Amino acid sequence: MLKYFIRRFILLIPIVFFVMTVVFFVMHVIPGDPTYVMLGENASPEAVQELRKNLKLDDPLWLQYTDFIKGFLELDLGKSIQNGMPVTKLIARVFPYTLDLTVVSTIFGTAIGIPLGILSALKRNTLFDSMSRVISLVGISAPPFFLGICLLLVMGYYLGLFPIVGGGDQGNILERLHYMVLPSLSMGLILAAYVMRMTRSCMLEVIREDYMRTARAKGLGEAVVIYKHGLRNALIPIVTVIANYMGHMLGGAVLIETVYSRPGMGKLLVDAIMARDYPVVQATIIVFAFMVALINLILDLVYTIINPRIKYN
Amino acid sequence: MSDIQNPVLAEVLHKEEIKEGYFKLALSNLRKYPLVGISLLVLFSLVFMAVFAPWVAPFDPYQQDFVKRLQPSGGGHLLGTDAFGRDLLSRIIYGARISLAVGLMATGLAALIGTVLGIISAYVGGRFDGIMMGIVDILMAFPMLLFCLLLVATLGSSLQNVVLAIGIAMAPRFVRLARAPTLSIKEMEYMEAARALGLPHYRIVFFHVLPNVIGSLIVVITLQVAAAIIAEASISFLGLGVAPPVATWGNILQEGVGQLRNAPWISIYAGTAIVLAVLSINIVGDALRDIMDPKLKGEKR
Repeated sequence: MLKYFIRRFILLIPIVFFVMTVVFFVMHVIPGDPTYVMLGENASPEAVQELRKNLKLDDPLWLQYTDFIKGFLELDLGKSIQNGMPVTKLIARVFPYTLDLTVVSTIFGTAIGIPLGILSALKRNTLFDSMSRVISLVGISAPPFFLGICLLLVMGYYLGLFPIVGGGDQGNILERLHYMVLPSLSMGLILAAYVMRMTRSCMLEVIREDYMRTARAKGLGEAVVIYKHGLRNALIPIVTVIANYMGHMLGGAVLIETVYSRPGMGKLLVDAIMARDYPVVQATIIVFAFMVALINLILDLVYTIINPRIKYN
Repeated sequence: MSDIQNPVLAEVLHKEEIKEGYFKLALSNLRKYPLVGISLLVLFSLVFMAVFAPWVAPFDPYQQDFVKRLQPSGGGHLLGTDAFGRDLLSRIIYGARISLAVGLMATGLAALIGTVLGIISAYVGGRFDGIMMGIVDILMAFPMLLFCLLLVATLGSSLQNVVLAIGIAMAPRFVRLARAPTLSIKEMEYMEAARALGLPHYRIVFFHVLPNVIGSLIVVITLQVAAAIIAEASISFLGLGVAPPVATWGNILQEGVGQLRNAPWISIYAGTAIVLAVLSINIVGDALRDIMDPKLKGEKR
């Protein structure tokens, strides 16, 4: 099975390659000249020509493509059209913020969603259950940026509990966490809603199974029965939902970072798209694609940990 | 007259009871789960509001009034005014037009493209199907919003392009959806018989594959409309969608963010509208899914 995972890991490369190609051609086939964005609408034709030559925008498409691929293999992702900085450095600067956000949001979502889902399943059809179902419905219906704005207003502005702008100094971990709470909650609560629904549904199915009755008959404590026998079997679809949402979170990161003016890859991407900054857009999307593919791979790995009977070959 | 609740049984025993049976069944379900009834009501109101906006809205959504800018509710403006003195309620009502229209059109487009591609792919089979599924898997794994942003950046920020972008981004889901019933029908034995008799492909697709697809299609379309509305709001919120002064819920929210300290109600009302719409659609969609589920499975969870 180890061979399977090594094979899967190597497969990541052609996938990323495919995404790279798609992104490259989408960005270069479009109308919209980055030079005008950079130099302004009234730039002189000579300046535009000069810039185009510098950026090699007039080279035949296949040449630009091969240059791009070559650069990528050397880990040189090019220079940003907007400010000339090496793209690798730009991404490396903001990546930790986005990673923080994604990880902490997932932790929040899971830590809130699973216990609530289990409780909801155990207390089926009680007031608690009905209320939590309605709340989770609201949770999946709220756009992440709206939740972000509400949290920002209530907790950040009116109550003044958390900072509302920026990402905080990377060095000081407490400060990092402080700046991370509201953004992570904005996405984490929505994840919690999805997780809660799925956990409830799965636990309801699992509870009916005979082995639960057997476990209780054996005299095992209720908590052990529910967690070790019940939850473990219900976990697979739940984990799938979490992994799927982590992919969506990368998209949601864009919105949250805009709301909280937090540095991150999402904001980097949006600004680059508006400015037709090809190298940055390409590199960012490739990094996103790689992260999504990696998450799916880890998901498959997690499946085998949860259910040892699953074997890949 | 027997009070037969199950419309299927009614059909078997006594054909005229069908219509009564369905209607009664629907009503009794609504009474048992009032939330669904309320959501349907909310949805109809929203659609009514959107369609009849010029008659429902108290003010012209574009009319600016700098004297009355940034007022909370009062003076004829039920929800207050925004930074240009435009009535918020009217803007939200007109915004419903675009947000709902984009949601419906984008989902319709996605369903059309996706279902056709899915049926064709499954029907043709072989390597074509394999490659198609690979592409669909990769596309589906990619965050939908980022894909939409990329497309909108490519095509430009107009209403049509937003619909196109969201539609294309959602299509892979429908490809998957249409594939399963097609595959199972393809394998059935009566297919060989039909082909042997010279039954043309399109008839097979139309009369056999499609009816099986439609059931799950309805449920997924409903839920995807909700997702499309959120996607449109997100794109507009980032300033990459339909531009002001045309009102959509997303760009009202965006304008509101700039005024968050002085006039938080702008964003809050617009956001609440989005949540209301999406919530009702989700509730109705959930209910539809529970109905479409093999009824023999037992009580509604």
